Amino acid sequence: MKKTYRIIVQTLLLMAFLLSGTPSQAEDRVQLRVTNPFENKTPVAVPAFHIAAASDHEKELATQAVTLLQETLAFTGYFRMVNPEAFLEAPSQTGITEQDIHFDRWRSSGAELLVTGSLTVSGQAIIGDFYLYDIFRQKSLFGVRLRGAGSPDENLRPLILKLADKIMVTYSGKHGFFGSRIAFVSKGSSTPKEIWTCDFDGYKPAQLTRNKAITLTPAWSPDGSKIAYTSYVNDKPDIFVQGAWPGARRDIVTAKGTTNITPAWLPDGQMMAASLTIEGDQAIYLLTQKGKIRKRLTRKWGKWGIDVSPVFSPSGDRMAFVSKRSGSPQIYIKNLNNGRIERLTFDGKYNTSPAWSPTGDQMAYAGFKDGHFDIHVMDVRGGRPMQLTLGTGDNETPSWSPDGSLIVFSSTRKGKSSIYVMNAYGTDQRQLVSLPGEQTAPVWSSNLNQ
Amino acid sequence: MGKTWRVRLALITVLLTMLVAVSCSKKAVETDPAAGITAQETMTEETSDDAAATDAALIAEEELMKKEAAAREEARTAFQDTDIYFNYDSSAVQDSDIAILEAKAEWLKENPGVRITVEGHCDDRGTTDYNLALGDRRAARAMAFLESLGVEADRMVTVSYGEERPLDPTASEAAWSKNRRAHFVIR
Repeated sequence: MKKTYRIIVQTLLLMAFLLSGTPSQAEDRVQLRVTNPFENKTPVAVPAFHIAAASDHEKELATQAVTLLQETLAFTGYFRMVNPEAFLEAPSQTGITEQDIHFDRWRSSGAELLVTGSLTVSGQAIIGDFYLYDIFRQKSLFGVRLRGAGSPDENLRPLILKLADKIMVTYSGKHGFFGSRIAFVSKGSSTPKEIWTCDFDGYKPAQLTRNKAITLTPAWSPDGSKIAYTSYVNDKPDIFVQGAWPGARRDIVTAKGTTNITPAWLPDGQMMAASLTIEGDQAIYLLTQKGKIRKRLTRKWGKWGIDVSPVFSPSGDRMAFVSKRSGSPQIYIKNLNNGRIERLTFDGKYNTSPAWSPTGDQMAYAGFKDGHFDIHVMDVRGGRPMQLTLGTGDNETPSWSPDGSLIVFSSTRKGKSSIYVMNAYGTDQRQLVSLPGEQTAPVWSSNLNQ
Repeated sequence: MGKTWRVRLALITVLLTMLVAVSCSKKAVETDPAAGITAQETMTEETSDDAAATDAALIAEEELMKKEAAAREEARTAFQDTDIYFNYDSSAVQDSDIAILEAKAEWLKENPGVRITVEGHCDDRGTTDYNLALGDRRAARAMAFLESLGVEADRMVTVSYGEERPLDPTASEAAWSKNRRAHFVIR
């Protein structure tokens, strides 16, 4: 009970902090606005789309399009879908343009935003006309025509995701993450751990590596074209880089040293950092994709020292990593300009898996307390962590969506480890993929091709 | 100049003689197993106490051979089957495991042709990344301990399996302590 209270207080404090630009502003704003943007979801109405010629196939596509848009908008956490039973109008019949919309009738549905659309399928192309309306202000926010060339079945999803992004940009001023993907580790009952990828929403999970050896710690290159990972291809852990598409060639990065693990990319997409044992201790080095060591990044602090799991700030000026230098694994931040290292986590005896938020100001990590791992988030300048998961088995390896609004992580809440997603305030936790075996170590790519 | 040549010639002669002698004795061992046994017996007599020597002498040669082979196999199995264990989040060799490592070092010295892999393992109450490093530390420290007892470093390699290969995958204190181990494999 006391704990719950503490978490609530911490949550409120951190929310206040997150909403403020700088810490000095935090105090002023606490009374003004303490809101989790995901708590008051904007109600959206997405009535059926109009279809030009009503073949069964087109009807089916139109239904799929509405469902996908609803699911995608709901996935962001910013929106909730208004029940179609509350709709008093059917734009698919009466018209999708502004002169046909009766805003007062839509207002009674409780929706604040309205999306209307029309789909035309012609041979190998699909054309969609879409409108977004602000029901309260009784005006159109945008009208857009989107085209998809090629098989309509294959192009419907990218077309609707493009529409969802346009809605996000209009709504929040920022791009969504609908072009992003998630890589994770999956282990079958009789097969070793391999790396898989899926779309941001868990769509189409597919095996990427076929190493037939334990393969771990995936890390996307900043442009999402490559994945670096640790694998036992040569009977010991080494670092490899592979294109992020099935069948892509695998290149070895390291060979020297007994344990070469946890690769991370610098924001420039050229250099990497990784934890290597080439000088006896387990330390972090800066290296090229060909494995050429450029620099040692963490000094030798003990013969049996452990420094692992490097991760860079979005601007590349700082590196977070896990070190045992204080006796137990804790997260540290090294300023790469002046070389200064500061310890970030003090709460608990085991804090690992740092994940730097794309906004640069937050660190998500997994902390071990009372027999379980849970996801925490804290300001990179220090302070009190906010615990996002509680009482749901082990929750580990957080990774942020490219816009910083969601966190993907692994959880054993249903027994076997699987991949889950939640918003950055810890609410709306749900399972992302449903695959046989066990899934761990999810990592979110940048927002690609949108 | 002439002197140097004579020295060289003498050296070559000596070396050749030695080579012939060595290859002959080798051949003898290969073609006559009894000769080999005899040599071993002599060794045994020299190193063991009188009672054992008397006993050994009474047992038929074949039985002795079997016994010795079994003992060798047993020692080999014991070497591979005996793990050492670690405390949670620690790679320090525990006092209770020093005797085990000493026995391993002895066996390695008695079997100079043997090369080994020291595997480091962790329990799963930790992070995959960190446990890979911790497993490396455990294997490296076990190897360093053997090296300090006189085992040549070039006969040993280490590999960390982190928490990837638990002996007992259940979530219990008993399983976790079993999984925090260094395992020794003969290559």
